[in-house]
Amino acid sequence: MIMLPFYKEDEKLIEKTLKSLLNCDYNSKRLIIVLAAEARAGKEPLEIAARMNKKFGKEFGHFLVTVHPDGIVGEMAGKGSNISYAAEEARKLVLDKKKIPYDDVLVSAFDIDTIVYSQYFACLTWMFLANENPYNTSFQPVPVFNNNIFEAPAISRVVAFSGTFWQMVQQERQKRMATFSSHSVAFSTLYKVGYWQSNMVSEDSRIFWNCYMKFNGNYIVTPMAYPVSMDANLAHSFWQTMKNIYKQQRRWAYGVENFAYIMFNFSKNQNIPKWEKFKIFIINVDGYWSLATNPLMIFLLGWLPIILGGREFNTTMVSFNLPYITRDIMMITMSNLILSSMVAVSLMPSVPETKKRVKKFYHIIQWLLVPLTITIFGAIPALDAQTRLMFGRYMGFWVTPKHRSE
Amino acid sequence: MTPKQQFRYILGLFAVFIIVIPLIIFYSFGYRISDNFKVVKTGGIFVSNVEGGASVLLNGKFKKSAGMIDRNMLVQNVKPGNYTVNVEKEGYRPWVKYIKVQEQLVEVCFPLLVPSELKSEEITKYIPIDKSDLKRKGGKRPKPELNDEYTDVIELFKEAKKPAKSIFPTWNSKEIATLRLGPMRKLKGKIFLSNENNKMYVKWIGKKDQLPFFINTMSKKLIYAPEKTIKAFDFYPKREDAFVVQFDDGSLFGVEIDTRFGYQNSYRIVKYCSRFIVNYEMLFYFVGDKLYSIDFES
Repeated sequence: MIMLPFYKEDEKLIEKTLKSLLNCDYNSKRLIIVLAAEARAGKEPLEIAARMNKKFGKEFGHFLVTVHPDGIVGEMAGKGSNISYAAEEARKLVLDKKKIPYDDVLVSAFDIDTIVYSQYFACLTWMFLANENPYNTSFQPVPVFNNNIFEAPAISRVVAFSGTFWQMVQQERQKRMATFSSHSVAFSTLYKVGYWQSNMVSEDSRIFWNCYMKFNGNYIVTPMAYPVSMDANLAHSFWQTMKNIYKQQRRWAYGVENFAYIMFNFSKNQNIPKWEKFKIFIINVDGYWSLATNPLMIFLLGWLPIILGGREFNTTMVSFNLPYITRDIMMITMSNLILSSMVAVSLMPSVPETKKRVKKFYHIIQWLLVPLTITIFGAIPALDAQTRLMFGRYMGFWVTPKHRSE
Repeated sequence: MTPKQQFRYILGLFAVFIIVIPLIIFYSFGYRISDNFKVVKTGGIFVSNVEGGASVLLNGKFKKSAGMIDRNMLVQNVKPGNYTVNVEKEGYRPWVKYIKVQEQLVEVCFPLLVPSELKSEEITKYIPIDKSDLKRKGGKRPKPELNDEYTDVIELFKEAKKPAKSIFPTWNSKEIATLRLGPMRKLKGKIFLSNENNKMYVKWIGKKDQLPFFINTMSKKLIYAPEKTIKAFDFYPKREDAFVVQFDDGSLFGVEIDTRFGYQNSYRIVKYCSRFIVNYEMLFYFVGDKLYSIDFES
C-alpha cells in the first residue's frame, strides 16, 4: 500500500510519481495506491485525483482516492492527519472489503514527490521476509533529494545533499535511527498503534516512537540502504527558495517535540530496560543540542576568546595559537567536503540536454557553502524550532511547496 | 559494519581524542619538549606584516616567510630571553627590533618596511602637449589645459589647513572636540598624535582592552624627541603605527610609533620638500613650485 498525500501540488508532479511506481520491477497489480487529498485544498486537487484515478486506476491492484475532511477536532492539518485518515479509509474500503490480511500488507508512506527506483518494492519485500521481527520494524530508505537537482540553486542543493548524507550516516547507526520522511511499515503494526499521530508536525519520526513505546522498546528501524528520490527545495524565486529551505529545516528540527513524548512514556513504561532508556536519552539530547549549537560554536569559538579575552589574554601564546589551531582543525574536517562532493556527484542523475551548461564543476565547488548552510539552514532554524516549543508557540504543519521547472 | 566493529572504531577514535587534545592544549599554551626531554615553557613573536615575501630572522637566523594570503607571521618555540628581530624583503630597507620574549607570552612587532628607492612622480600643473598634436595643428601652440590631478591635490593641501571635521556626528564627537585637532594634533582611528615643544606624543583614546601593542599605555606617551625642529607631521600612508615627520631642513622621515625596548626605526623618505600631505596610500609634496607624489602601495 503506497500512501501519497498531497495538497496543492502540480498534476504533472503527481503523474510522474505514479509513473515511477508503474515502472518498478514489481507487479503493479500487487500495489494499492492511496492518493490522499485534502478537502481544505479546494476543488482542483480533487479533480486532479479523479483524472489520475481515470488514467492509472486500472494499472494498479487498487487505486483509492481519499479526501481528508477539514476541521476535525483535535487534529493538526498536515501530512500525519491526512495519511492516518487515508490509511483507515483504505482499511475499510480495500483491505476489509477484499479480505486482505493486515499482516500481508506493507505500507509505504511517501511524499507526493517521492520517486522510487525500480527495485524498491522488491528490496522492501525481501527485507520484510528476511527480517526476524518483520512486524516490529520500520523500513527506512535513503532519501536523495535529486529530482530537480539541476534546477535548484547551489544552497538548496547543498542543504538537500547534507540531509541525504545525514540519512546515509544514520543507516550505519541503526540504534540511533528513527523513521524520516518516506518509510515503510507493516499495516498490522500501524493498525495496532492507531496509524500516524494526527496532531503532530513530525509524524514521520513520531510513528517510530509510537511503535517503540507500544512494543516496549522491542522496535527498531531497519535501514534499507536503498534510495528514493525526492525534490530539493525550489520555488519561483531565489529568495522564496531560501525561505522554503528555512521553513522546511525548522519543521524537521521541530522533531524535538518527540523528546517530551519519549521522556514522558519512559517514565510510565517500566518494561523498557533502564540502560536502554538512558542511551536513548543521551542520543536525543546530543542530537538536538548539537544540531542547534555545534555550527554556531564552530563559527564562534575560534575568535570569540580573542574578542572577549581582554588585553592580558591577547598577549598569551594560546590567544595567538587559537586562530591557527581552529583553522587547522577546520581544514582537516573540511577535507571531508571533498569526499562529500564526490559522493554527491555520483548520486546526481545524468545532466539533461537542456542543462548542458551546468557543469559538474559547480556541483563540486558548491560545497564551500557548507559553513553558511549549516549555520543559517541548520543551527538557526533548529534554535527557532526549539525556542518556539519552549515557549509553547506550537508550530503547525507547513507543506513544502513542490516546484519543478518546465 | 557490525555494532561491535562500530564500538571498536568509536573507542579507538575516543582514545585518539583523549591523547591528542591535551597535546594540542599544551602546545598552544607554549609547552614544548626540550633537547634533553624536559618540558619547557616557550614564548613567541608575532610579526604583524602586510608585505608579501617578507622574512623574519631571529638573532640572524631565518625563521619564517610571509604567506601569500596570511602575511602575518607567528614564530613559535622561542625560548625566553632577548632577541634581535630582523624583518627583510628584497628592495626594502631592513627593519630591526630588540625584544624580550617571556614564557607563554607573545611579543608583537609591527615592521615598517620602506622601499629602498621610493619612486616619486611629478604632477604637472598643465597637461603636457603632445608634439605630434602640435604638428597637426600647424605648429600653433594650444591653450594649456589644467591637470585635474594637480588641482585635486591642491584642494587637499587647502583642506589640510582647516581643522578636521566629520560630516556626521559620531558617538565620541565631544571627545574628539577636546583634542583640538589641527596641523600639530592629528587623529587616526583612535590614535592621537601631537607635537608639543618639538616632542611627539601618542595617546590611545579607545577602550583599554583594545589598546594596541605598539602604544602599550593608556597615558600620553612621549615617542619622539628629535634634535632637529619638527615643521609638520602626519600619519604614515595607510598605517596607524607610524608617522611622517618633516624637519625644518625640509627632509621627510618615516618613523614608527613603537618605542618598546628602547629602539625606534626611522627612515628618510624625501631629502627636501617645502610642504607635504598624506592621502590614503599617497604622499604628495612640493619642491619649490613642483608637485610630486609617491604611491606607497605600488
